[in-house]
Amino acid sequence: MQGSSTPAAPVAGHGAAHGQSNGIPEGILGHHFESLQQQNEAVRMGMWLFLATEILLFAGLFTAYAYYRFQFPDGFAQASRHVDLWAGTLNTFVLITSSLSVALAIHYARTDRRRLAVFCLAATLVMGLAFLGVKSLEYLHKFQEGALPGRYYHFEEVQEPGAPMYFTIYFLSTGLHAIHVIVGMTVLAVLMVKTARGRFSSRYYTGLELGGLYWHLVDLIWIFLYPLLYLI
Amino acid sequence: MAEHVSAPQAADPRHPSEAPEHHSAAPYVGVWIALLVLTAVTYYTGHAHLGFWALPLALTIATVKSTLVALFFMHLWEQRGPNRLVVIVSAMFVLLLIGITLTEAHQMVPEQSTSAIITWHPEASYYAVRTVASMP
Repeated sequence: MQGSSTPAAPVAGHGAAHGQSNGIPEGILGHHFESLQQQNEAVRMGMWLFLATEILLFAGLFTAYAYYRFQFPDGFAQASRHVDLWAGTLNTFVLITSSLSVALAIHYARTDRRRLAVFCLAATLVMGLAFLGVKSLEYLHKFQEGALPGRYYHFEEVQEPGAPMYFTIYFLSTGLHAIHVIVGMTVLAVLMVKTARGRFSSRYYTGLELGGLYWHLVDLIWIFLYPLLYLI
Repeated sequence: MAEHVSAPQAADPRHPSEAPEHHSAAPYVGVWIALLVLTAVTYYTGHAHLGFWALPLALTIATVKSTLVALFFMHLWEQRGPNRLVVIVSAMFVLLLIGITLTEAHQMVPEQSTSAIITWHPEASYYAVRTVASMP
């Protein structure tokens, strides 16, 4: 595609290869890639494949959910009336807004507005913390009520069969999701420091883009968890 | 780290798929507003307990929302090619996993019953089973 030009010796007059081999921040282009363009496409593809495995990881929990919801429709409906709907709804708004701020951070980074990008990433981290805060209040409430998974279940108000299974799936799926939120926040915090140091710009922003993809996936999973757990 | 790099080149020849298609942040805000509205719709329809249609409706809205996130926030709109295929194939596998499990689990109710395909012919006899009238 790019001929035999190497990053070290760009062929003059060769449009794409020429422009990318200059102006790339040092230490970004792997020696086994012909151009930054090629590397970007490869790493994005790799990230999407990783996200596909994440989707399938959650799909196992969604399958368990589907099976038990059809097995115990009344138990699930009863139990879902006793989760904190306000908390789920608030967290949905928080997570969607944090997705926007990540998208804006990438937009600002690739249009060379570094300070705005850092600000957007910081806002995302704050919203991630808010999400976890609301989530932990919710968990605390469940612990106090005794709406716990499996045999630890001793919630007096709902004694329908299937309700303990609902709370098992509730804790497994929201717990796994919360772990993803924490991982995503860690990744974004590192990327925020790198952005502040000028690592990402219009010349190179793929690293930031990949971190953003992970955060959007976390949002995407929650978009499905919200109606399935809170609004039966 | 990268401060020593030369100033941004105005005429940076990029591959068409690399160049940002839009230079304003407005599309992102538009998508965000759409997502908020759809969340509100999910909330109100979920609260109304619509019976049978509640689940299909909630899943349809969630699918629309996640498609918006994938296309615009995750840039699949401007990245044509194999990444879209990865998303579509993984969604297909999710549907297969849930679909096969559900159809298998709820094929026979109650669980221990047996299913068979029966065809009828006047001279056919099913093992030694006779009608009550034909018995001595």
